Amino acid sequence: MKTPPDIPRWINPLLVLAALALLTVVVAALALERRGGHHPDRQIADITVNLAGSTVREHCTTCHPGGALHPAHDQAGNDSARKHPDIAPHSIDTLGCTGCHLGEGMAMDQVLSHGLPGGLGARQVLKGKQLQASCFTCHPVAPLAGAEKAWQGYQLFLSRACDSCHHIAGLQQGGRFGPDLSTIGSHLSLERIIEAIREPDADPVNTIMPRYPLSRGQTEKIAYFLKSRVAEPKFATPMQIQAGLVSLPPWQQVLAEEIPAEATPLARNRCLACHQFGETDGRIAPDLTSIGALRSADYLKTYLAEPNRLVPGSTMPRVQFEEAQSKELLGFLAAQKGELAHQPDPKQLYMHLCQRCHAAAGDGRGLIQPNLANFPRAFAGNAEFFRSVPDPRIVESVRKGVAGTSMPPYEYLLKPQAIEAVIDLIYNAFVGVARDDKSTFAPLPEKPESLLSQDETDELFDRRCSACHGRAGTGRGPRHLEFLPRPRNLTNTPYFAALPNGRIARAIYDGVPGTGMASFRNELGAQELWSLVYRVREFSQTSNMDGKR
Amino acid sequence: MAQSRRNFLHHLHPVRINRRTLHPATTLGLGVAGLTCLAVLLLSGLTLFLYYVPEQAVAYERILHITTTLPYGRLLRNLHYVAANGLLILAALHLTRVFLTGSYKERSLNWIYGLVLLMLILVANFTGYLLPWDQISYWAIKVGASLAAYFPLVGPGISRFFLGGDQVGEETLLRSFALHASVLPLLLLVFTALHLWRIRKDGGLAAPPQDESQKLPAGPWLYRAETAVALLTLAALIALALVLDAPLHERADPLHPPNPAKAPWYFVGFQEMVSWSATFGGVVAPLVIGLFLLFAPWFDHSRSHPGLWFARDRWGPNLAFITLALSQIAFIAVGLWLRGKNWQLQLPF
Repeated sequence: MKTPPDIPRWINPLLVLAALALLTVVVAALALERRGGHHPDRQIADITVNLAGSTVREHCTTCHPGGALHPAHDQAGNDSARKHPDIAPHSIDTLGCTGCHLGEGMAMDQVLSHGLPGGLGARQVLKGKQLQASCFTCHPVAPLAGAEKAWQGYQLFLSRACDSCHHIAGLQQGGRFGPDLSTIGSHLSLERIIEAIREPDADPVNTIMPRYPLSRGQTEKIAYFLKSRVAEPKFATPMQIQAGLVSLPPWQQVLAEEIPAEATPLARNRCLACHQFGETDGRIAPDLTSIGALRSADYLKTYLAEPNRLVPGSTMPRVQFEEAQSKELLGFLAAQKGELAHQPDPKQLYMHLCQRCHAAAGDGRGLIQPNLANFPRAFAGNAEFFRSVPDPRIVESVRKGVAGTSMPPYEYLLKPQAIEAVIDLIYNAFVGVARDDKSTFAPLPEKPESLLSQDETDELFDRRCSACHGRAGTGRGPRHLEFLPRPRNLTNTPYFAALPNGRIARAIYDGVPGTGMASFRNELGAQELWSLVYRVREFSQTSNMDGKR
Repeated sequence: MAQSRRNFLHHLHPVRINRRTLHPATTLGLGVAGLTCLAVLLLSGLTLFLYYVPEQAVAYERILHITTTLPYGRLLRNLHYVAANGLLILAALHLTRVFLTGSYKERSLNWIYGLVLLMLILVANFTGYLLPWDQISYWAIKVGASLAAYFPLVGPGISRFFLGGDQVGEETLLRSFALHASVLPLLLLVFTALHLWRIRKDGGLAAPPQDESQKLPAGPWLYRAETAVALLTLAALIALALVLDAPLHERADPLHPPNPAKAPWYFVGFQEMVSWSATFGGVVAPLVIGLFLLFAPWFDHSRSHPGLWFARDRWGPNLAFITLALSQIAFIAVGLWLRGKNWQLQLPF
């Protein structure tokens, strides 16, 4: 006799439980989602407008009847605050809302319809005075009632020479040094544009865009203008744009009457947006007051044409000049010999000539240090470095300048006694050790007869050096941002051309105090050391090698 | 009485079943739960079908319309989202259960059908991911497509076919939609039918031979148990849909990738592996996993009966499977939560 198996007792209760659970959830869902209310019992106001040939559908007026503030958000409580300002001849019926205010017209949820916070925020709602960021998407860029700040923003954009690095469609010429801003308004929110101008190195951290000395208000004005640079300007056809019919007024016309009578070519060419000349200071780039005395005409000519050849890594953009323009500018610069009082006080000299880069505190973090390709030598807290460098080298650095960097030769401006006095001042005020207090170093290993092979040297460089100096030797290895002073750019030809082999070897062997360069004395043999010296010579393409591999 | 109530369901189920079939630990109800997800997906998908337009300019706005204006639209989209991810997870768990109980023995054809279903679910998930056309979906598809391109010979072709070119664009959106809304549901239905039919043909659930006295009639107990699991799954899906919002980010901007750009979560494991080694992560690992799963029934020579959890003589394959599964989960977890800007390792908080 077969015994029948037990009937599973749990199935029926489970089924009942499941049915109950489902019922509960369904009822909850129906109730919650009905009241979850993005549009509580209101008829959805669906408007469809034709904006420059494309159909735009939006539900904005559901919550903003007649374009007014949402009743729930109207804290003033009076009717006038609720009304949309008179914007005739614009009308909501023909233009809709999102054409100017942006936002997401199809969304009926407050967060979504006003543009998601965070992210790029390209569609974030523009309200109040921000709205003028939209005017120039349709209107030609010209003085316009209601868009005063956006217009001033355009003037600032030109007067600060933003266009010498950034291209903007509609301008006759524009730099290709920085990102193209022709459609920036379609990608970034006002907030992100302002952030990008005020804190360029927030993202990306390795940007070379300088931090301009602009007030919050000025930055906002520029941002209003930039926000109007969109991918599809509404009342210009792509063909008009292509044909150059949609153009921006050029620089000269904008401030023609505002250029002072004693207008220098520097002001006219907007050099002073970054550089200093006399009283006028752009606070970004070096002082040009005495540049004619310090640098030869040839140097200046080459530098204007190719800044990176003389100072590799320079953030100075290559500016397009017409022949006559550059001739005038160079002539003007060469004529500027600068004016120095006779036998001025070394303190005055330091504040006048040195502190712009080396800082008043002597720590190298001067006003324009972030924009320089090479970190100015720190004096304060850097005693070890000064003890390691023979005195004649320091004097020579001031007299002859440092090739491949922004340090100019001061012998053309200062008398030898004045230079001595400034160096004494630097030792007394910042370095903190006596000028003749020098450390002694073990002699460098002799250069061996044979060096490592090319492959072995490359492998050694990749292993030991490339993390900071980069595999291409440009000083931009994966870890280069961890150090200030940044790792040396080994492809800096002018800098290394002036350096004897012994100094390169010394820097590798004993390290460089006050920088991230560590001593490799215990890790490299003579053959490896000298192979690396020659690797540096190859990177910098300097040929004063006193021996072949 | 049973005769008079005969219907389609009776054809899908055996007349008499083993008592252990009903035991919760035998199958964990994963198959039925997955089937419920599929049903929910088809129904919610058919509804979304009515409101969506696969066109760059309007796709995002249609999603906004569905989620914020359409009555119960948000619930519907959330339900589709929850069920889609639920189905993928349940299918993976179902596969795990079948492997660890060795139930594929002498059922290699149905095992293959199951793998095909898993592939189809993955592709359906991937194609559906792009449809909202927002920042996250756009860049996830871009990453996913370039992951596929790592595979030698066929990879670039597959990627090109899916993208309809070299870039994610109008063509990609149209192709994703066509695959997602017509081809894949059809294939899923066909293979699900085959999958169920094979269970019946193979004699119900895989189990060790049992005394005839331990058998029960399928009706009503099996039906009730299955209904209970289905209703519970449905309740869980709706409850989750009330709590979890399907993600919607900003409109896609082809010029500004988010940093980091991540593939959909089920491919983040591969992305993580590729970030270690393109050859290993992009080619060797997927190949090893694929071949291991594909040929498991033929490699497994153990003599234990199918349907038993962790049979002693199957420790080898089980260990291999668990290792693969855990490593994949670990890679997904690292890629998903521990990778920040520039794919740098970081803590998630």
